Amino acid sequence: MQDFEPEVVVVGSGAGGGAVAWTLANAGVKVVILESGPEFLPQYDYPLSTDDWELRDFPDQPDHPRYTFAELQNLDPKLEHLLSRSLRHGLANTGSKRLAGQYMHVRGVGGSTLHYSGEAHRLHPDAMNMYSRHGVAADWPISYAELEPYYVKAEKLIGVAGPDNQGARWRSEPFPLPPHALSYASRAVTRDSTFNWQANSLGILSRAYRNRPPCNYCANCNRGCPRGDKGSVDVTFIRSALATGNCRIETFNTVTEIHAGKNDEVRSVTVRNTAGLTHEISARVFVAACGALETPRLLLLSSIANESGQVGKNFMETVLWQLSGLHKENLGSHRGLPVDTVCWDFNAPHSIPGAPGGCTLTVATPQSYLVGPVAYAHRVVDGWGRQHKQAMREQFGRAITIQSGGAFLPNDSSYIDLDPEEKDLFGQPLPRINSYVDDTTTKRLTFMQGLCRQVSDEAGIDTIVEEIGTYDQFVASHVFGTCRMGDSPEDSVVDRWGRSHRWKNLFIADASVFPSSGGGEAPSLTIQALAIRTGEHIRDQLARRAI
Amino acid sequence: MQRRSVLKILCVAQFLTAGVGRAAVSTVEGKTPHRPNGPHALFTVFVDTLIPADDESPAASELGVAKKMLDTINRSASLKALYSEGLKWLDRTAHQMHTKNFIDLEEPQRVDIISLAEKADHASVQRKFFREMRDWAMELYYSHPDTWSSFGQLHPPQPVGYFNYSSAPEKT
Repeated sequence: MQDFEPEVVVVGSGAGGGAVAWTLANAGVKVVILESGPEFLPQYDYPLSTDDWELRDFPDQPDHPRYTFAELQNLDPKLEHLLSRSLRHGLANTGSKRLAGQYMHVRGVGGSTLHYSGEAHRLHPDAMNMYSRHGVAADWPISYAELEPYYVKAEKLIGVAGPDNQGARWRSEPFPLPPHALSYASRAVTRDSTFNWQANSLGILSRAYRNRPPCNYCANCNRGCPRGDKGSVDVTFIRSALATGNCRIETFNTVTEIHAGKNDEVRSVTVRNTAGLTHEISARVFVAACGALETPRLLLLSSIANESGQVGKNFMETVLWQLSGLHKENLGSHRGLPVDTVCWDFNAPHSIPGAPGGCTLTVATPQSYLVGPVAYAHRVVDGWGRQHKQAMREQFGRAITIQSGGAFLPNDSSYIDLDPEEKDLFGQPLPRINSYVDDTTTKRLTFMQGLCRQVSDEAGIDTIVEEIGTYDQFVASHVFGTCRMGDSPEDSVVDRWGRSHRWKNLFIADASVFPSSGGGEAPSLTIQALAIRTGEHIRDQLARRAI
Repeated sequence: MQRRSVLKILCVAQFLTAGVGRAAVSTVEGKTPHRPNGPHALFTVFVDTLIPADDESPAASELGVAKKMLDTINRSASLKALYSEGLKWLDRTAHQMHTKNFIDLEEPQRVDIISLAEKADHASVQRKFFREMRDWAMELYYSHPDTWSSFGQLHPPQPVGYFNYSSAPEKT
């Protein structure tokens, strides 16, 4: 970096970091992105053309723990109906406590968008006013109308494909690309449903767009897209940012501390790489975009920006119910897109009696990885011998997964702190997940379970092979809230622009700023819209020499 | 080989991991089985009883499944111990029930014995041996392209994908 003096340092290259870097680089601002993981090479790292493709998952395989769990709650015998179970394996959790499962987060250029399903959702406008409407969580300090132009910018860069009718999510412009046709399987599942279904809005190309090819519907987005039709951040925001010549990205560089300077400004960050070298980088502006676990961890490690005491608090996690079963016909359900169909009927925050915060319904068979015979042999078709072989042939292509994702409301027992004992490779405390599923969430999960079963019944699914939920096991792909955005420095960490209330040149651009989780919407598009807005604010502040 | 941590939106690991992630007798009904030789013959017969040949697809051993498993077993002390105990149990049970070695039994007799292992107590060595080897063998077998023709339109996801995804699957 000797020949490149960054004005802005962005920590993390996922949905938020990539978007803020792109915005600034496009405006002529010199940006360096510090990424603790590698750059994946799609054609090499996502080998979906090999015979053993089904034995490979996304290649980010941590060789050292990245987080820990505090002891999780006791399971309530009255909620036995919410236990995850499978026809083949029985109960997933036979113990008395909630299991510590997995936070599915990718470290690398592009972050978790590298393994995401491409869902590109806008938040329901009412989900941004959970406190004023329902007395829970917190209101967003900005409205949907303020965020809407930034959604448009993100959708255009990514090439989002979707149908025009988006209900409460009003649009100032149409989607850049037409929606994908529904798969044969999804049409069969939703044909007789009493609910309203539509093509999911997806950051996956339905036509060639900006030098990227259209999707060929291989159904394996979650293993990484070798073609570049999925709009992960590496092939959209970061590729465009690098093309400006104003952006550099440094992989395997982990920021371990943020240093305070004079006059409530951050001076520099300490960076350590895997070769053991440590150096310090100064800049005019610093943006933390490491996700809702790592960003609060970095602030806590640095003892910075926690004047409110809210860093790490208000942790919100994935709430999900998933039912997989066998349709009466072979639908060829291993083909298509991971989550091609969505129902928004219960997404508004008032939709679920007694449990504020809505939920989505989707047909998500490929996302559940039921796309090959190995998965069928492990999860769908029990037994062995000649009968098993025959059953494999009869049942392949019939598996259907119905999924519901829902809101999670902050509670005092859900937060991120620093583990007092466990350390990372650099000897620093790991982030520790404290998670508690409260009564409102279990009510919502029960409602979501009922929806999935109703869709299953109406679709003619005759055998349920799995039902999996997040009550008896912590499993999260989406986490939020741990550096809340708000107008008051008393109860939030950053302001409406994502800037620390105290530290004038310190910004946050990831889902940790969300005051509420939404009702099951995938968050990446909202993270990107917020990050573009933050980026434009930084650009303007730099131009006015206000930072 | 990588161990999968499947299902990225929601993964209850016990349900969804694709097996232990480490790797003959051709017995189409009515045909005379080929009897393997060598020190690992018993294991090969066991695996081929789990996944025998039929009119549409080969036996596990014809695709090298048992051999791949043995290659990995030989590199792992814990797997070797499980393997050894599991095979001992098979032969011991075969002798108790039929006064023969497992390898010398007819297929229905072998099936009966493996069924006992399948239904045994969760903590028993024979149950653990059965579960581990069953899932592992299935993983190796069904990841071999020679098994895919019986599933109709199945191929590695790339490079061709499934442009026909919105149509009914072709009949096999």
